[in-house]
Amino acid sequence: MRRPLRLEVRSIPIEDLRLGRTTSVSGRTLTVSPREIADMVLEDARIADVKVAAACPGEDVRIVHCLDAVEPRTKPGEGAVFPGFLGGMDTVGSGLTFRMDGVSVLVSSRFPGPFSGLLQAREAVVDMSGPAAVYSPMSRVRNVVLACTPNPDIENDDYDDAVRRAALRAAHHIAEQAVRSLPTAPTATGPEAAGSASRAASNPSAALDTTVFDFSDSDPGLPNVVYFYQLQGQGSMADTYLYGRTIHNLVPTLIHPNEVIDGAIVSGVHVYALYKNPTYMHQNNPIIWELRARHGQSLNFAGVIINRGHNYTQEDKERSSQWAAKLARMLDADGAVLTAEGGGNSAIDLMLACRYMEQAGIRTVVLSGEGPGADGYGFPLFYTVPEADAVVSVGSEDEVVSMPEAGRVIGGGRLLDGETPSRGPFDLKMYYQYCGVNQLGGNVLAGRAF
Amino acid sequence: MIRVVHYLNQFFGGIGGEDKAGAPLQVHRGAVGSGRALAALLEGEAEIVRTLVCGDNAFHADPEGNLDAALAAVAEAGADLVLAGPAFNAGRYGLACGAVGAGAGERLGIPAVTGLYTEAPAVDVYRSRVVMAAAADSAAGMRPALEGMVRIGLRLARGGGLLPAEEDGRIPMGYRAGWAVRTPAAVRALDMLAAKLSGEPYTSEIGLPARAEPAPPAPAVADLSGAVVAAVTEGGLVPEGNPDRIESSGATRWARYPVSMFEEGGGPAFRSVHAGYDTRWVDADPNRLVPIDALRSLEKEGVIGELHDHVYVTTGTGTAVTEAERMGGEMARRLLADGVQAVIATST
Amino acid sequence: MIEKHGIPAVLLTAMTSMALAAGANRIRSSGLIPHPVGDPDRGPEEEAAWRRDQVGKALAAAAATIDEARIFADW
Repeated sequence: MRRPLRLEVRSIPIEDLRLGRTTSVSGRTLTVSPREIADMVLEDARIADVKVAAACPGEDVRIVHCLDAVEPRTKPGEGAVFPGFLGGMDTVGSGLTFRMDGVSVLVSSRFPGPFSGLLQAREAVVDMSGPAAVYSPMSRVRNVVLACTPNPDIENDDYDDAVRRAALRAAHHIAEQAVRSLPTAPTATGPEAAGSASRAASNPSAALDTTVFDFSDSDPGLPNVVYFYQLQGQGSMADTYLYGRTIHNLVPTLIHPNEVIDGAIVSGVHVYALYKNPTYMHQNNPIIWELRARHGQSLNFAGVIINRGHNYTQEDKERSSQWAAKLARMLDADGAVLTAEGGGNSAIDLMLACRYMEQAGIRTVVLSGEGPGADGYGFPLFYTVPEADAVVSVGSEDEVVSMPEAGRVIGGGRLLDGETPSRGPFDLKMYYQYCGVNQLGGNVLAGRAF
Repeated sequence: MIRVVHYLNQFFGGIGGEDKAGAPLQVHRGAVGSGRALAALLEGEAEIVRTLVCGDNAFHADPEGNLDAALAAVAEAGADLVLAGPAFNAGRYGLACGAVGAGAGERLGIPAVTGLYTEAPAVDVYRSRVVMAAAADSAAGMRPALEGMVRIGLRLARGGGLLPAEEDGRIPMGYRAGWAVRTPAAVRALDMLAAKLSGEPYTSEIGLPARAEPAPPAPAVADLSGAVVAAVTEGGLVPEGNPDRIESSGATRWARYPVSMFEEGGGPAFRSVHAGYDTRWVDADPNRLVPIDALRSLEKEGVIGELHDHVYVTTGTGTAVTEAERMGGEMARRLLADGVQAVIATST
Repeated sequence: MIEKHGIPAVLLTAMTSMALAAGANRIRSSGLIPHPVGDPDRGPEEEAAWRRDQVGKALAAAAATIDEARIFADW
């Protein structure tokens, strides 16, 4: 029997986050146990210390050195979340997944060793309130911050692996405990005995919103729309993981949207903060969620093409972008939405894909950050093609943000420049605002003509 | 109460038509002519303390003198805001409004707003220097034009800023900046795609570039074996310590370094400060960015006449086009002055 | 800008499409983005010989008369 991928995502809405003795949910309040999380994180000897803190919207708190943000998820009784990291290869994208709606596990740390050159972990700041809060989507969720200290004896890349796994494990643990603590309710098939955590967990709590991701039916009267999803795979400190592996030698390939939503893509990008797509943004990819909402209504969501950006040569960029356009044609696409991660170089791969899709008769819309220069009078795109006649702006990289003095700082007393006190006040370039110009559309900013 | 100075031409100032276009600049107390409608809109918020009226021909007969006199009157009036026009699609009147508005802002630091039709001649001249409320092409659109000028002007006079041109009902000044929006990008993108797929009109949020005027190709080097050849790079290669403080991105500075610094040991090591590429290979061997060794051996072989004694450096990432053009021009003039006949440039 | 001032300037870059879009006239595809005239996979001597060859070909582009922007290719 044919079994298309069908995913149910059940959202546990959280409006308040507290630290406490055990991890659980009560009403719309999530309590997280710092002790539990710290014990779990410190099982990995590569991390010397961790401080667990809560940072909620509206609080006078600043988080610095942000590396990744992860939405807590669990799939009760049926397989891996974040396969390739937590557990081995296991195709995700079907069954039931619980998500903690409005919560992220945000890992913050310096690295043990120095960096040189382009590919280094750069400053990434989130203000939870005040005038700079608008610059990060993570200021609008409740963050369980893991402020980690590295074991000084290990290499940067090894430590990167440690903090990534720490964030994923903590996220999984929080969701697992939260689901266990949900009140039980009768299922459609009959009453269920309370007391068994796993059975309670697999039992949908009646009040929870469930979003179904099922694209198996398509309407021949509607246009087919594909999503071209360019990932950053530039090297150490600038990698994205697909089922636990880097994507360096990836030719554009197909991935089911449910896999993306269900944790197949994990971020390891620590370069310029403004353009980072954290794991949280992959899990909640706004394009995929919006395509899902319109599937069967005004379009058929015909597939997701992932691609590695930042190819090193023109020939590689041509090969990759033409390949992506060919996949779109194989999917019988009428239209495509294109996004990328990172600026500069990766914009070329993105725009070439746009060009070859348009040349194949596939109508495109590109999301892009812009850089019109400090005075705003410059041409806003690093690279474009004449075919890119429908571009949505997600903000300007050339802003400078005035950061007021913060009441409390999580993550370290000084910014990564080693000088500026994290508490402020200081002026900070948009480059260092965490997800300030999120090219998946996760933020609320747009570049506008004034 | 916000103190407003209003600028009008002879027609809207009630002096007369084209036959009175030579009327010299007059300073009135209070509102005059079409300014009475403006005063009504400002009621309770602001007061027109002076009205300047000048004939269209008279203003342009002595633009500097009239501007000086107008600004003196604005200063003397203790104005918080200058409103000029609206001038709709008028040529001379619009240009006078632009001049007075730009002068108030630039010389006196007083906010100013005019009202113009988008294709009025003054728009191209003063677009970036004066705030322009969008107006119709004739005085039939007087009331909405005045309302726009008042809405924007009062906000500026109170220390507020501009909204994006579209929300503000303004003619764009030519610059872009970030702005918090309500509709998520994913929704805007799919709405745009839906319009594009169904053949309905849509507007790209970032238009295509006006095709830059291409530089005509320079003539070929006639005799390579006698030519002075210089190396230029945007790869950010600088001596240790970056003495010229060339920026890692968004460069506004360039420098030149003696080739001898690269070739002779003992001096400071060269490293790239460029923030747009992985510099470890170039740091290990700068020839991978600036091919001094190759040019020197080509010089020895007689393929080129001479390797120019300086290497020209800047950083080409996030660099504004205007800055890049300025620096490129400066480099080019220096290269010309030094008799360089061909350039080998590298870019990362 | 250098060409605009009348000096033939050959741009060696891995990003030829970018160079064309930016208005360069004489363009030669060379190396990779982080090392346009380097090839760290070769030994030092072989790399130097390769670089000399790349620069030599670029110089030929400076000596070529062109009517419009052009990417000089090996093939």
